[in-house]
Amino acid sequence: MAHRKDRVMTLPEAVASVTDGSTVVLGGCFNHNKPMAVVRELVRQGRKNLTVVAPPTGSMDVDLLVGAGATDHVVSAYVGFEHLGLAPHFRARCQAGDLKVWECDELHLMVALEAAARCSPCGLTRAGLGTDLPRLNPELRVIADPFTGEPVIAVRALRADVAFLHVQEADPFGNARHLGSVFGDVLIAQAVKRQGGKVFVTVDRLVHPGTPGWDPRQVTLPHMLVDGVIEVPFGAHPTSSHSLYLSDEEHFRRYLAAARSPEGWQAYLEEFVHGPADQADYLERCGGVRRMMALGGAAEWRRSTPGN
Amino acid sequence: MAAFYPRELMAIVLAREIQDGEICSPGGAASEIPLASVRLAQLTHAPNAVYLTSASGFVCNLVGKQPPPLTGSTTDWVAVYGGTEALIDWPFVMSTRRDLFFAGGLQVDVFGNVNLIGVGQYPRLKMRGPGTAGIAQASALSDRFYIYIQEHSPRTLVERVDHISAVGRCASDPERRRWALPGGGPRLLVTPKATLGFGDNGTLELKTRHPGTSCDELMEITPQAFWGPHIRDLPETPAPTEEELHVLRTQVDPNGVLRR
Repeated sequence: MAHRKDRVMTLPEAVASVTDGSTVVLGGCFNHNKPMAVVRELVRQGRKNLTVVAPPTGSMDVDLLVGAGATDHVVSAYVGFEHLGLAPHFRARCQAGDLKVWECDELHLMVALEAAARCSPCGLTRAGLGTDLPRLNPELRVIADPFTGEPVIAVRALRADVAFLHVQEADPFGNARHLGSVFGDVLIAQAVKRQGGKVFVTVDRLVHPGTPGWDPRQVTLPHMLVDGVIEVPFGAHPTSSHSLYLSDEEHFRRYLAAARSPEGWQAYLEEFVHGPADQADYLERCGGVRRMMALGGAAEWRRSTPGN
Repeated sequence: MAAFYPRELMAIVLAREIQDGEICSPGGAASEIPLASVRLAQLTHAPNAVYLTSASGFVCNLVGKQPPPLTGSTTDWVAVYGGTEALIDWPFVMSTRRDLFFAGGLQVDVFGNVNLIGVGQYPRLKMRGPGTAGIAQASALSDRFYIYIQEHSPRTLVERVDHISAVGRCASDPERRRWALPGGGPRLLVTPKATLGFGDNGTLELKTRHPGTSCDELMEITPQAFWGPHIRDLPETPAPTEEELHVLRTQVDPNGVLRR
């Protein structure tokens, strides 16, 4: 009988396929669905000179890689901690003039990904006309539309080596199911695979395809777009995993406080990135089962009910 | 007149701009003011309006539903309980018509250009901002947009922004026409102290002062380029009605995010 190979692997295995200087795309959005366990593993394995792409927007994923010295080039429309404040390392390195930013709007990233997914060298949009973005980013170029002569911006297709996404569930072959927002994850996978790159997905839980309730009609990301599946419970922490646990704002505040001094930052990296032996150890250091319970389960019900 | 907080008034002023049936986009990150305004409009004069929450793609209408808390982030998935009726992905949002949009910024200039990139010369900015997010596309493509800033000062109101993230200028401005943009440009700028709109010469000028703010105070904190012809005699922004304030506090913002 034919034997089908599953795509289950470990975090170190998946991250080992990233070489220094690669272009790495991270899924999710703002403080949500970010592949944070991957981000920590990239730092642990000592990757350098990465180009980090966060479509549409980045937060602690990008800022941690900047702060740990893993990247010198950021491609994103926004890097910040939403209502919690600006991204400290991103901000400091930009102000020092030693971090390159592919300055853009969300829509430019979408057009760059769509072009890559369809094997076009570039895509077109009117977004950005009248702004300074084409002045600041040589890969956004104002040209004349060949049909009407009206101005339009050509966006160069994104070239990337590898993408990491965090999704709530997948089967061992890589069929993944988002339980909340999909953000740009599917488009990212299409773009990176089409260009010959690899796509890895961390999941909060690995699901047997025969599990009752596992319905192929609800799969958001089919396996032909996925090279590897890694089971990492709470793998998006401290960002949220849509419908499973909330973002850990206490941890974000701790991160932001640590980033205020070099000593604080080194201590943070030691405690949460280099120190933990594995994900279970990391979660222990973040408050363990008690803290994770406070972020999941009934937490969303309490927060969504006024008066609590 | 009931007492109210500046951010409550800002949300109320913006809510009044929304017409019934429109598709609204309150933005993504720290966006509690526009989020409150679209929810307030739905629960008062615009029950058939809908709002989309940027990249997270929650498609929401609150009418007849249990009031959700106001969150600092529209990407927070507790928004599922905030009147969400459908969930779409980011490319779907980017490909959907939006009638109006809200933009916050580090700097706004007399043309209504908005800067989220940073202050100072590029690339060694004196103050690096978060980046353009989605305001370049929204200012080019949505029918109209509204600008809100949480500080009214010469730091935020400038003659020329250092870098343009959102393209301003009113629909009749030759510069906007040159770009052949589908969108009609900014309609109104609201601050904690006043509202500003386009004057006859195509630049933003003070239109109304919020209750409790005098013309003298506005002259002190507003660069002269924004004064306009009526700076000494500005009418007052209509204060919140009892209904607006009641709906805002009981159904839109029961946890008092705007009262902090």
